[in-house]
Amino acid sequence: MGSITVTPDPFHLVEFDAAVLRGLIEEVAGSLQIPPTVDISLIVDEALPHPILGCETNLVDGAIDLWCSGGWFESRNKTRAFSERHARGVLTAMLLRARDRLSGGFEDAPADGELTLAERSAWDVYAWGRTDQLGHRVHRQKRLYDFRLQHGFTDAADAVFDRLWTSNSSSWGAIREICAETGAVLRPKAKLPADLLRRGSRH
Amino acid sequence: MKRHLNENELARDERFRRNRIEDQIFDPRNVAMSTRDLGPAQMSVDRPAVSERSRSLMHGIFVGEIQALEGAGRTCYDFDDADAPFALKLDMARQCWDESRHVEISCKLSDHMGTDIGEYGESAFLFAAACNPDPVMRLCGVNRALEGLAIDVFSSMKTFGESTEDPILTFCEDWMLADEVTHVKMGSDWLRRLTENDLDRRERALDFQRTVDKVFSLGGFRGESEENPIQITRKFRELAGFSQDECDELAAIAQQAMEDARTMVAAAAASQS
Repeated sequence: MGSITVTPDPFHLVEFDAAVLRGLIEEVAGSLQIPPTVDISLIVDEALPHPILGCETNLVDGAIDLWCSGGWFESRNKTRAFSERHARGVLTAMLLRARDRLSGGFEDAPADGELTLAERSAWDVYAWGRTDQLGHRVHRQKRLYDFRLQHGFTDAADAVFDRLWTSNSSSWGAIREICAETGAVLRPKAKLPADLLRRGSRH
Repeated sequence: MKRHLNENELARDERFRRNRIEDQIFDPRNVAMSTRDLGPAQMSVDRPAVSERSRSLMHGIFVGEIQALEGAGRTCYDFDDADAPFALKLDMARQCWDESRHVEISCKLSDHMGTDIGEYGESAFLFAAACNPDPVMRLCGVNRALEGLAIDVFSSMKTFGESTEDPILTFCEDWMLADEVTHVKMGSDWLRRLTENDLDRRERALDFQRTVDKVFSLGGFRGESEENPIQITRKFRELAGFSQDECDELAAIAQQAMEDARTMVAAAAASQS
């Protein structure tokens, strides 16, 4: 049986419970049929509040390595409080991307810190679309706006978004083709590292 | 109907949620955040969490427009004609119409960006500046300080819209910006007219404006350096009746507000270590 670890434990700056998060990860990973032998670690940067949102999903030596800002799990109604609904939603999207990396056509994708913003946003749409199909409350317009920021405010970009949102099967190659189709590959390279938030993290 | 409402008496439906100032000031994450590199202060497409941060700012603009509407509306009603001439109230009534339109535009922009009403908390400090019982002070607080901040915010949002090639955001911000210049100009004109024969009162009003401007600079939120998310927009402020000296003074106030905030954070960090 694989292990599930959550860092920090206990939390000091926010009212989160590591045991609750471990339970959620176990439940979501099980529902997504992630092999139970795979180790999963989640690092939460509790210093980063909503709206400073960032998250990463990588594989390290065959284990799933998750990192996210505490703002993703934070209640919108009470500062520093935990929101199970938001946590469940983002953990589902993150673990869907982990499953993509394990055996879902994304085995040769670079680590999250090396993805371009356009590649990452297209992959996120694919993940959030499936999260929506699983019955979670996902704000489609938010995801569309995020996608437009990286792929353009055009009808062509919107058509690609619709395709990704309803898709049940994609691959790293398809994501790269999408970036060519919307013209995102021609945009200037980002001046900042994609994993800037994580680089400043203490863990 | 009651005159002079305070910020706790504003009408809101169940979607809205008021931020508690003490939660923000005593949030233990503040010190940790201050030492972190969160990317450039100004909004750009490669800024970390740019979409959520811009949504948060847009929601702040939305509730700010509601409070500006409420502030201008109260000025129409709170004063006798002896304190506030009828022509001033007509200007405030016109401003109410503008602000109502801005509220609607902000709602549509929030839809465009994917934000629900009430998704972020509301702070009422903008309306608090509109509670002064002296109409001259209130004009300085609302029309010159609050609406002046709106010029800076809209100009920065318009620049962000241009940089991301978002035609909807760019167009909407440009139209609202034009109205804000008019509102600040009305404040500048009425300040001069109402204090024409009372220079002491004018100076007290300008002092109040400096205080509000410092508060609205939000410890570095607004300024003229790359560290400030919102840039002071001299071109539009001059169109609105600000002199070059007043723009220089505002920049100095904003700089001081940022330095004061840094000193407070350093003191808080020292007390925790």
